[in-house]
Amino acid sequence: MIKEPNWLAEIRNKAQEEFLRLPFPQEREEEWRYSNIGKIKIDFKSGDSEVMIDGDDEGIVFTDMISATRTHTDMVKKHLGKALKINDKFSAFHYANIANGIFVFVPDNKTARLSSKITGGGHTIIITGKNSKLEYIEEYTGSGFMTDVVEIFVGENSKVSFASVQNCDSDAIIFSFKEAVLDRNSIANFAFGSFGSAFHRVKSNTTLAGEGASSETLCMFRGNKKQYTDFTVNSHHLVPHTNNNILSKGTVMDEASSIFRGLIRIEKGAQQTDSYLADHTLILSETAKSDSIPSLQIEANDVKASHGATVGQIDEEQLFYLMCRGLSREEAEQIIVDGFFEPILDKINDKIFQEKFRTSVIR
Amino acid sequence: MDNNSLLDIRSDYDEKFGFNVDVKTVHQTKKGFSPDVVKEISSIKNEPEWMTQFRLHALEAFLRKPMPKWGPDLSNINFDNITYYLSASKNKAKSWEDVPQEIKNTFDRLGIPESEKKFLAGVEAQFDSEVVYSKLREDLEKLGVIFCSTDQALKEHPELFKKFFATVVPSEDNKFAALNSAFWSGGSFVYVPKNVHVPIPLQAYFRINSKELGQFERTLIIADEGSRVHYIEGCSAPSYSAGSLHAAVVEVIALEGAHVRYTTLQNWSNNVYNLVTKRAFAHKNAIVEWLDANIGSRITMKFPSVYLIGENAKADMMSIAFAGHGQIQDTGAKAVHMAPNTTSSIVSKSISKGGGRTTYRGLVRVEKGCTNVKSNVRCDALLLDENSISDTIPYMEINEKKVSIGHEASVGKIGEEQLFYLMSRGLSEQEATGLIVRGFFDCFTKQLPLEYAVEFNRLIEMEMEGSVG
Repeated sequence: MIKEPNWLAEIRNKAQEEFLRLPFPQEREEEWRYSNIGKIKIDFKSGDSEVMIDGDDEGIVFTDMISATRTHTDMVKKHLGKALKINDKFSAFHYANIANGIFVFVPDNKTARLSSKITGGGHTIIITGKNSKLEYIEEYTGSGFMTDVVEIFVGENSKVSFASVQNCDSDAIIFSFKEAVLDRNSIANFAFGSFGSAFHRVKSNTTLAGEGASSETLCMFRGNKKQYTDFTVNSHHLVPHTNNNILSKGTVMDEASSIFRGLIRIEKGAQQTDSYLADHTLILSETAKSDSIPSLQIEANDVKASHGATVGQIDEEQLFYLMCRGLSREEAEQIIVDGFFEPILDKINDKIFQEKFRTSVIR
Repeated sequence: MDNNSLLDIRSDYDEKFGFNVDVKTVHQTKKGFSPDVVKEISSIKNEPEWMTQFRLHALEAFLRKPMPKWGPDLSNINFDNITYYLSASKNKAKSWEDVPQEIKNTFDRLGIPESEKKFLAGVEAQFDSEVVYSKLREDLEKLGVIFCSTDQALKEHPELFKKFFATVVPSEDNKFAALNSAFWSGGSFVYVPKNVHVPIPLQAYFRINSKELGQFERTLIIADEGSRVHYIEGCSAPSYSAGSLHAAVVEVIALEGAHVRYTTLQNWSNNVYNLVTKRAFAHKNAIVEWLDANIGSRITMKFPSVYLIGENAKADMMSIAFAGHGQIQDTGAKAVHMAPNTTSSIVSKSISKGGGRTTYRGLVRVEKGCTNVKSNVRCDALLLDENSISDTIPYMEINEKKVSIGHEASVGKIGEEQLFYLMSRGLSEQEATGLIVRGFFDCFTKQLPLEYAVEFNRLIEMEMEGSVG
C-alpha cells in the first residue's frame, strides 16, 4: 500500500481529535429527533473500502484518491474538505478514517462520461473547469458501518449530471454527505437513490454561489422490512438569479420508516431566485411510518420560493379500477407504485442513468 | 422607495391604543418571583390550599424547564424585573358604572362598552392582573351558560373547575405554561351547557396598563355536548419603552358534537413579549376552529393546537401574521390526530415588512391506528421589501397508512402585474398594495363578525401606511 502524505495524515489526526471531542448525537436534538440514532454503533473495519472506475476520456483526470494525492497534490489539498466541513460526529469520523476515494477533474472545455463503484464508503471529489460537461454515475455497496462523502465543484458554464445509487447489504449503516458548490451559469442535476441498507442518512447541500446557477435534486427510496431512510436536502441561494428544484418520492412498507427534511434558504440580496421543493411519500403498510419537514427560510423579497409535501396511501378507487379489470391486489398495487415513480424517473435526462434507477425502483 | 417610511408602521398606535392611565394600585407584588410571591398572590385571592400547591408545584417546573432552544431570541426577558401581580380594582363590576373611572375611560377609548351594546352576548374586561368587569346577557345566564373570570369560577363553580382545569395544558407542559400556572390571574371561564347555542359572540379584552408587568391570563372554555359558542379576544397595551410579558394559557374542551370557535385579534404594543400556549381537545364529532391573528407585540410565539381525540372530530385553523419593523411573529398551528376519521385544515398567511420576520411553525401528527385522517396545510407568505424575512417550518409525523396529508407553501412578493393592473385603473401604488394585502387576508376577514372585519381591515390599513410610495 502506498504511504499517505503527511498533510493527509494531519487531516486525519485532527479529525480524530474532533471525533473524540464531539458527543454522540441525542434523539432529543432537533437535527436527530426523527432518527433512530440510539441504536447505531460506530463499528468500522478500516481497509474495507474499495473503488473501481470506468471511463478514460482524453485529457481528464479520473483516478483513485491516494494516487491523486501524489499526482495532483495541490488540487486535492485545495478541495478536500472544502465543501464538507466537520459538522457532527459522523463527518468527523469520516475524515478521521479516510482510506480511499475517487478524484475527478474535467478541465475547461472538456466532456466526460464516467462511472464508479465504491464498496465500504469513500470520498469522491469532482471538479470541473469552465464550459465543461460531465455525466457521472456511482454505485455503492458494502455492509456494516460506513461513511460516504461526495464533494462536487461545478465550474463556470459547466454542466454536471451526477447520479448515485445505493445498493448496500441489508445490514449496512450509512452516513452519506453530498456537497455541491455551483459557480456562475453552471447547471447541476443530481439523482440520489437509496435502496439497500438498514439505516441510510443522506445529507445533501447544494450551494448556489454564482449568478445564473441552476440545480435539480431528485431523491428516490423504497423502504421495506425495518429499513430506515433519512434524507436532508438543502439548497442554499447566496446570490441573485439562481434556480433550484428538489423533488423526492419514496415508499415505505412493512415496518420501514422515512424522514425527509428539506430547506430552501435564500440569503438577503439573492433576488430573482426561483426555488421549489416537493416531497411525496406513499405508506404501503399499517406499520410503516413517514415524517416530513419541508422548510423555507427566505430573506429576499423578489423571489419565488415554494414547497409542497404529501403523505398518503394508495388510492382505493385506483386499486378498485385495476382489480375490476382482473388484476390481483398485489399486481394492481405494483402498477400504481410504478406509476407513482414514473414522473420522477422521467426527469432523469440521461436514459442510461434513468434505466439504472428504474431497475432499482421498480421491483 | 423611501426607507424611512418603511419603518414608520403602526403610526397611530400610540394615540389609539398606546396610551396609559394613572390608577391607584390595590395590590402589587414586589418585582421578581419566588415561592413567597406565589403564596402572596394565592392569599390575596383567598384560594383553596390545592390551588396554592398547584401554583408552587408549577413554579418548580418553571425553574427546572429550560428556555426553548429554538425560535426567536428571548434572552432579553428579565424575569427578575417583572411585576407578577398588580391589581387596580378591588371588586369585579357587573355594570360599567361600578368600574373605577380611569379604568372605565380606558375601555371607553377602546370602544368595548359600545361593542357590547351592539353585538356581543357577553363581555369581560381584564386590566393588568385582574378582571374588572364581566357581564353575560341575562337570557343566556338563565340557560345555564357561565361566563366569568377564571378566579371567580374557582370560587363559584369549584367542581366544574377542578374537573377540567389544567387537563388540556398541564402545568409542566413547557416553561411558559409552567410560569402561567404558577402566577395565573384573570382570564375567562366559559361553560356552555348541553345543546345550548350561544348565538352571538362572547368577548374578552385584555389590557396591560403598567410597565414591566407580567400578565398571566388563564382561560378555560368548556363546551358541553352539542353546544355552540364563539369566543373572541382582543388585547392592547401602552407603548412604553420597557416591555411587558403576556404568557397566557388557554384550554378549550369541545365535548361530543360541540362547536367552538375561538378568535384572537392580537394587537399588543411593539414592546410586549407574547408567549402563549393554546390548546383544544376535540371529542367525537366536535368542531374546533382557531382564528388567530397576530399583528402586534415584539415577539409572539404561539401555536394554537387541536388534539382530535374523538372520531369524526374536525379542526379548522387559520393563522394570520403581520410583522413590521422589530417584530417577530413565530406562529402556526398544530393538529394532533388521535382518533380515526378526523380531519384538520391549517391555513397560514403572513406578511413581513420593514425588516420584520414571520415564521410559520406547525405540526400535523397522525397517531398509529387513526385511519382515514385527512389533513391539509397551506402557507402563504408575502415579503414587502428586501429587508424582511419569512420562514416556513412544517412538521409532518405520520404513523398510519390510511391517511391523506398534504402541505403547500409559497413565499413571494406582490405581483407586479397585479399592481400594474390596479394602478392602470387609477389607484395609487399605496392604495393598490393595500387592496392586494386585504385580498391576501380575505379568507380570514370573511370569517370574522362584520364589526371585527371592519376593525381588522382598519388595523391592517394602519400597518400599511407609508409602506410604499
